[in-house]
Amino acid sequence: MTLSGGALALMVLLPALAPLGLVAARRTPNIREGVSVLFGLINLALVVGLLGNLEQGASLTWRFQDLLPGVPFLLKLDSLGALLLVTAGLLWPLATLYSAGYLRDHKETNQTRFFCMFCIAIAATNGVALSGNLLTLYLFYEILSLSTYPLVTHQQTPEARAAGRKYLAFIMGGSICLALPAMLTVYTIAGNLDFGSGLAVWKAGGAPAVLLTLAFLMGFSKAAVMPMHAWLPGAMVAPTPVSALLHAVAVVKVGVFSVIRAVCQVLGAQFVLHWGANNWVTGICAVTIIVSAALMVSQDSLKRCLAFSTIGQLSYILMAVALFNKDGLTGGSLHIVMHAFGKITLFFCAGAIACHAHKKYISEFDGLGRSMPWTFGAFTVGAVAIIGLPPTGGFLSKWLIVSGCLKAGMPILAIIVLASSFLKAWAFFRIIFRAYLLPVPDGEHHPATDASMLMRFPLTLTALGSIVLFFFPGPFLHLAQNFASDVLSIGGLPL
Amino acid sequence: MTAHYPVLAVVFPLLAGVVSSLFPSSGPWSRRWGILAMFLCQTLGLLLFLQVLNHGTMVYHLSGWAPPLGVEFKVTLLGGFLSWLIGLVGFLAYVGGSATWVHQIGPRAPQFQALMFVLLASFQGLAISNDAFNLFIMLEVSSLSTYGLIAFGGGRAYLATFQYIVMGTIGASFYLLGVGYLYMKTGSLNIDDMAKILEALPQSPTITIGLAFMVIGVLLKMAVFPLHAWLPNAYTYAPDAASAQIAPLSTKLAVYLMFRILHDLFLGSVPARMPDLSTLMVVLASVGILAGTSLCLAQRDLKKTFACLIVAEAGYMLGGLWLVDARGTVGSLYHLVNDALATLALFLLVVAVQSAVGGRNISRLPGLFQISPLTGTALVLVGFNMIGVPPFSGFFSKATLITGAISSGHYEFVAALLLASLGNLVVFFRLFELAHFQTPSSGFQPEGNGHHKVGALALLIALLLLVLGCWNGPFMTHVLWPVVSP
Repeated sequence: MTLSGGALALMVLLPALAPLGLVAARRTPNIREGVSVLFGLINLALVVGLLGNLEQGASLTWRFQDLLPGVPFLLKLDSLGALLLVTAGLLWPLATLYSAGYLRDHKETNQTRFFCMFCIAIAATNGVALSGNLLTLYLFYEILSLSTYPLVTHQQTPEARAAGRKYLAFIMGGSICLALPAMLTVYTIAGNLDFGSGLAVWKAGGAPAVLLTLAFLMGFSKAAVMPMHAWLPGAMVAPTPVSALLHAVAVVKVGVFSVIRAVCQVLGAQFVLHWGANNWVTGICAVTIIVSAALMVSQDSLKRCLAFSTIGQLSYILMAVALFNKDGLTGGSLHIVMHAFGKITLFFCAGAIACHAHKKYISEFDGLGRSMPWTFGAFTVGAVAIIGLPPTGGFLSKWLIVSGCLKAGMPILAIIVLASSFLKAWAFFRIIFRAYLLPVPDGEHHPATDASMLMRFPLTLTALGSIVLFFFPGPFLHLAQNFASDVLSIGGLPL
Repeated sequence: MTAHYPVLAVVFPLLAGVVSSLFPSSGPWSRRWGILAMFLCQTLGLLLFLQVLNHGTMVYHLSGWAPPLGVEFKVTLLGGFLSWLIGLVGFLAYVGGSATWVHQIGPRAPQFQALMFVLLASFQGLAISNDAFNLFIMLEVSSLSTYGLIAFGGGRAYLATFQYIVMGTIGASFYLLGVGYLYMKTGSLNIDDMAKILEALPQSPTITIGLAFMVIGVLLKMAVFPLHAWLPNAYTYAPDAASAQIAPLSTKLAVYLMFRILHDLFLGSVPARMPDLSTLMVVLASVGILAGTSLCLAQRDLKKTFACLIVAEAGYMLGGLWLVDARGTVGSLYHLVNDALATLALFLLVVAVQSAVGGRNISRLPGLFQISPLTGTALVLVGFNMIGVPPFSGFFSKATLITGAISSGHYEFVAALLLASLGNLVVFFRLFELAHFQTPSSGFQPEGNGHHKVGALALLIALLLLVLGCWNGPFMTHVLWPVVSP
């Protein structure tokens, strides 16, 4: 199947138009959710079509006129974008099914608003994935920030409101005060914001170059690199499907993705390496990894525990990419997919437990595994994927990341990755141990059955996905390798 | 006929005002005439703009007296666009504000309407006149009609009007004094002619003083901090129909006057003549932006919040003009257009909110979304524009200004712009939270569905801002850049 550039515009427009259908069907929840899933499936079909095109080496672009002189509104598909696109595309329909089950079990209000904002957030994620220059990316990034605000504050409680404020302060504050000026500085110097060319080694010296890099790293605060991470645990007040698809996959991956785009493809490998700015990135990410792993162990709320795990995993990606060698770039970008499948499974499970057994705290999980076998089975698989053990996809990307650290001549980073994995293993096996092996406390009544089918089906599927990715990582690995050689060939570095 | 468009743009609203005052009372016919005349003003402006767009700058000599002796109207591309914008804003403001007349204006509506048209005529004059003294007259006419319109608010509006009269008179006199000094040196009042003569003259104290007087006079009219004190009260206590008419354009046309002084009168030579002044102005603008935003954060009255926003926005445009960078100037002019529409939307929202929840203190906002979804949505979208979310035009004006500031090395201005965006984020999300999160506290029941209509109008303007943002490239290339660097 050959698609034209218009298909890229359709990828963004389709989920953005879905709310029209949802609002029209707001009185009949079954049809509404049906429409939502249908849009998700069409979206997925389009993604598959686009991937086919990319495999054939066709380069698709779609441009609108200039937004700033020399910077058009440009959509373009490349390997890195395809990784994000396919991840979001695969998980969106599953998350929609899951949301339907979750919201009904939880008897949430404003369900139509929830689904509408969800669709817009996916449209923005697709937009970020397909952006052909940094300004277009920034545009979709901001739309994503604003469309997820109503999702974070969905419950409209004072707690949700406070989390919403924090969310805005970090996300919008970062993008307006750091990413925007950094982007416009690059624009002033280079005259464009294209991906790929990279800045010429700038005469002004090292400090501005490092500042520019850090402004992107901190400014795209969806990447949750410390100290810009604090919004993420707070955002866990949102309904679990939001935490699952957005705050474990779409939103945070968009943050990481934006940083990668800005640092690797706008500033460029040559520029960043020449001024040693990448060492700052790896350093900050290494600290984030180890601190977040330590914090993770000390959490009692399951969702917060998962949030800290996400913070660490995001920093794996950025740290590996900032090493600028083949394994690091491949492993880092591949981790976008591998982590997504593992983490969404864990969140789905957390939601199922909260919804069905009404348990949010790890200390209440004693003996729960035996009454919810599907959920805890999937949880175990997800945990294994996040820790990075075979037979799950997480093992492959982590292997590459560690190998990248070693090849870059920084064994200390490899040690940090392994140490944090150990802490993660401790945190997760503590939960699994409680759930399966500890007796049910006296006076506690666990539900007799597992969660509803609408929740169980998606979480089983994503857990299976994690395992499938271990055996058949081919297409994703291929995309990640392409991305790595793209970045390195621009920088004129040895592969 | 076509050749007379420029003078018609000014004379037609003036005559429409005279006709308006002839209506006996505020009957439906007076209102119908108002709508028709406003629409015709808008159409005239559009025709004028299209004419200029297709055939280049138009020149009109009043009574056939050739400049430099006679008064000249010169419609540049931007002037023509502003003429259309003035007509459009006037029309939309009239339509949106007309629901408030019954309560706020009462039987004196014909007089009120007459003043409105006079105001419009003076705005048109400010956009297209090419004579320094004639510009003063237009400035005075606009001020005088504004005083009248504001005083219609009654109560606290009288004191606010008095404050404005004092400050406005000082501003206009300063401008006139400045023109006088330059007249001493050049012996001419036609801007192009003065510019030609000034170009050959070396810098002298007379020119410095003349320029200083003009600039300070215009700064007062622009309401740049710390010369802003007249504005928040005057706009807040004016009748809603009047403030929707005045607020979008009054300060913006002062900005345009500043642009004319720098660009057409001094031909961009001010930075070379007085190097420190540019820096001083940019610093002043940066301080003004922060002060305006802080004032805005301190308000609890919705209308006053938006009025304070105008003070901050004046800083944006002032800074842009003095950055000594063509991008800054273009950004400033683009922001002028963006801000005129956004301010119109904000002041229409005040009308809609008042009729939906029965008051404009922000404590009345809870429940706005449920009562009037259109108004709520418009508030969100216009808020996004003010914060500077792409692809609204507010983002692109800010981005262009920041680019100009970075390339001319004015980082304090960059910082001020970014902080102001954050400030606006807080201001608007505070409103969204109230309007969205809380259920209505008072038992107010809106009368009729007027708020839906005004809300829909504000929503329409918000969409216009979106269009202006998406098509900012063509707009800047075809309308603004040719004016700034031909």
